Amino acid sequence: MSRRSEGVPASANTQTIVERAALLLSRMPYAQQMGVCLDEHADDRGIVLRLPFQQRLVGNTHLSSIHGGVIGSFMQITALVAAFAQLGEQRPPRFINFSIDYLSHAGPKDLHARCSFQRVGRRVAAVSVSCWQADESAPVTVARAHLFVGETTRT
Amino acid sequence: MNELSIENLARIIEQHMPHTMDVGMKVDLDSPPGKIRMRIAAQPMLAADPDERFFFPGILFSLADTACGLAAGRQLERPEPMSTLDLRIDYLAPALLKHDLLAEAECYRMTRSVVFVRCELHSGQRKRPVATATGAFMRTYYSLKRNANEPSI
Repeated sequence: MSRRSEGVPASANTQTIVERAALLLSRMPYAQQMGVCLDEHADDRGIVLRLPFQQRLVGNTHLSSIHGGVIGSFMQITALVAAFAQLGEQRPPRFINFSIDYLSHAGPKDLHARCSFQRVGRRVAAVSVSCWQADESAPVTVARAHLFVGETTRT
Repeated sequence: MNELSIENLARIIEQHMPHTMDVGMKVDLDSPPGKIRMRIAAQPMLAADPDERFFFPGILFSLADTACGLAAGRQLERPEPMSTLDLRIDYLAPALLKHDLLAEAECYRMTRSVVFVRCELHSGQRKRPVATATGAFMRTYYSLKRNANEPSI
């Protein structure tokens, strides 16, 4: 089983990474509710998700800043979708923990996020997620998390 | 009591904050002094899975974030802008979409510059928490109610 090397396309079937990402997104009611979509900037470093700005995502109306919980949810969706699509998971991964650092204010603009895999073991993956608005090299938040992966049945 | 009233905090969350209104967060007006209890009703749109069995984990995170922010705010003598430095959540058990989600947050340490908070989340009336969260907020002004003589960190 060599499915654990990063960047290897899903071997379970003939779907592409982007198709698998879109499939999982469509199966997460809360991702649909927030309006998360695939970003056109997906490349060989993996998929990128986008959260189009909407007024109902705001946490502070004076600053029109996006609620911290919305940013966290969006980054979690990014980690789940990336792990499912890029690692060739049979089931959506589950979070063990999730820790976010808020680096700067997220204004009324779209958010983008990318997930990278620090280590992928047989049962657990350590991932980091970066979230930005205008410039990927200046993230508004970064997060790290552990996910249960490699599950074939859910208990 | 000089702390921001729970009614004021509830009004902010339930009438003036678009995201918390969108997902239906409520503040418990009977929250014990120094703590914040919040609730979010189970709704299909908050599901993680198409079978609508579980809350999306980000909803627990968002509820913890909001409750921690209010718990920090409740410690302040007057309203003061605060920025969230970080928040970490541990998922201890599945949060079934059968039950409402309850959160209780408290500030366990406050210095002149940082407020440290923690939050426990429960699924309905079950005793064991489904998640715990800890975080820190950076204060922008010094309006400390107590411990005014302590060194800042």
